[in-house]
Amino acid sequence: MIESLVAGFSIIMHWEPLLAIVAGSVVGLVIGTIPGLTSTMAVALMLPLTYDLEFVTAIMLLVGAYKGGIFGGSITAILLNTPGTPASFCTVLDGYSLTKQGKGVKALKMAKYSSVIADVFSDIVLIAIAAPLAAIALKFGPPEIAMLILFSLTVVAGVAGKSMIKGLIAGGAGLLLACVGLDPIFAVRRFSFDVVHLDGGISLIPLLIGLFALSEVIFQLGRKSRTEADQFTIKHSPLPEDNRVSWLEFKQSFRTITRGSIIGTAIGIIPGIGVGIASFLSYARAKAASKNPDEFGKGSLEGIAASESGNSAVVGATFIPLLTIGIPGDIITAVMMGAFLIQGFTPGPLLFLNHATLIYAIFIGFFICDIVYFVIGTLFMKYAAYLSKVPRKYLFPIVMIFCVVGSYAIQQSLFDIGTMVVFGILGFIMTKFKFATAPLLIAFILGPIGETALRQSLLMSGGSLNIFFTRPIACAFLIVTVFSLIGIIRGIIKKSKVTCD
Amino acid sequence: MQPLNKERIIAASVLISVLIVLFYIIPTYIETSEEYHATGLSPAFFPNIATIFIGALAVLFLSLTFIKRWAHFFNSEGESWLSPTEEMKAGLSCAIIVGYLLALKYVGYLIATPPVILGLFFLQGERNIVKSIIITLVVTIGIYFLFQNLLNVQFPQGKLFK
Repeated sequence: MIESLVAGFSIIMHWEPLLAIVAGSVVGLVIGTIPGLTSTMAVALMLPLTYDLEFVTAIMLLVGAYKGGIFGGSITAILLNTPGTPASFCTVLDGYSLTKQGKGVKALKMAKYSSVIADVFSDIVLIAIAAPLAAIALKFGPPEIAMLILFSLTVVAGVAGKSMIKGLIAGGAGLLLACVGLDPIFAVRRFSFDVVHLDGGISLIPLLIGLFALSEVIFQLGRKSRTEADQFTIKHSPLPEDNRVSWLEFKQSFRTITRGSIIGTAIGIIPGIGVGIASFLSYARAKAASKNPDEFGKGSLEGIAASESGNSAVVGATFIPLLTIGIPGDIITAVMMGAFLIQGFTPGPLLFLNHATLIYAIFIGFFICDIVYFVIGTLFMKYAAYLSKVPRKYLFPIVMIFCVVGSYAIQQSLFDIGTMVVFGILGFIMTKFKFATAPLLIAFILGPIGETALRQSLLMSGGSLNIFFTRPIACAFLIVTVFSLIGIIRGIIKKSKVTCD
Repeated sequence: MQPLNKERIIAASVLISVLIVLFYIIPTYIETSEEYHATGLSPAFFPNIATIFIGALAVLFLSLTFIKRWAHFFNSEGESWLSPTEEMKAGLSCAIIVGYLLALKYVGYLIATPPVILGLFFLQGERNIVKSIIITLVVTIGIYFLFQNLLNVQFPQGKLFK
């Protein structure tokens, strides 16, 4: 590991990856700051820019955008009462209250410190456990992979949104869409409809740009302009103590930051759960454990620390399932998986075996990202409020053009633009009827892996399902899947009883 | 329309779609042969599983809309969506985007893009023509330069100009 770290250090310390980190962080901060644009969109829109870049440079550009986007979302959450990304929802509760008291800068600084500490924590965990986990994952055969995918698909229920049934239907649709193309075992056409372009399946990048970026653009193009952002002015207190976080205030929040880092990291490791839930859980736990729970929601620095540490700690941890077993931890790492595939690298344990130095270069890049967005975030905070006032009438048409060009750039095919438009419209319709789109994407990515593994397992066993019970790791995943399903069903029933009461 | 009735229509639509996929699309558009069926490894195996899964969920969904205890799941009070006028505007934007796709095919990027951007600006309420044109040109050429020169992407030139 030490040799790989040293070799990785020599790879990352070149101007291209470092410039990519800075550029990605700036773009992520800018996009995350603008309400209506999410960090997912930031990464999805930056993806086409990575085609011609080297692997490490490409990934660092996207990681910078991811981390910058998460922090960017907190800036508008604090200053303008508008979460720039869903992960910043809890930050609004206390951040905006502090801004109304003229202490917006204090709130921003606490958000910054919490985010960076949590990020570093989760990056350390990533480095510490990724390689050992990858070594265990190398022992996985098709039955283990099939059961792991099955477990991951049940966890998709966690991103199913408010209606779990609709989310699961979207997941099922993702599995079905993944079947378009050639059968992985017999290489016969499935759902090609005699269209040559569909023989290779539906392209992932146009699908995700359409589903996440274009659908949002269509929604925003329909919406009437809101004027409150233009009318808003930010209060500033002249007192120095209102514009900084004192050592005492930091010390009082340190336990909260640590708790949030642990919660965020744990959530990030489990595929399918994601940033918003980590932020919310961290906030809820901090409030329960606080000596001053009544202050939460009224301008508590601890509240900001809890939310920001929770949502930032997820980032590094979501790469653990992606890099070790090839399963994206959340939507954004699902997008990142596209970047890996474009570069010709398949995430999973073999990546550690064959390209350890590149992976460790990326790990070191994560730390550099944390330093960069700490510095850039400090400079950026002064101008962020102006960015969020960019008129929508200019912004979203331009984003639409980026979506079109970005989809075209992959294979320079107009069919890909068509795919992107179809999924953009589908994403818009799904959102209208309250079907979550994230389960569709995750199932679309996991489906082919799961199908191939399932069918290979059945080939190995001569068609018998016993293979999933006789192999210990596969059986363990199956048991965990059953418990996960029971937990989900119990949660639904409990929610039904509580709401009825 | 009552939220519950809307949800029932959605569930029924999903169910009908499932039946179409299961009994028409899969048998027609997936090549099958007896030799594939030997160990349940037919190419249609997984699509059938996925479709049946969706179908089962659709049946569950439809059933729950008739049970009072679960009806609250389908009441989405307090959630804002677009008004009918805004939806029409979104639909018009979609039509512009589809038109853009067709225009790219026939006249290429440099000719198709400016009218589309101007059209969307107009739809969004921008009436300052000079400002719109300047921004349009900057964006069109900026993106062209970024992708073509820096990233080696060859933009579509259009069938009419080939």
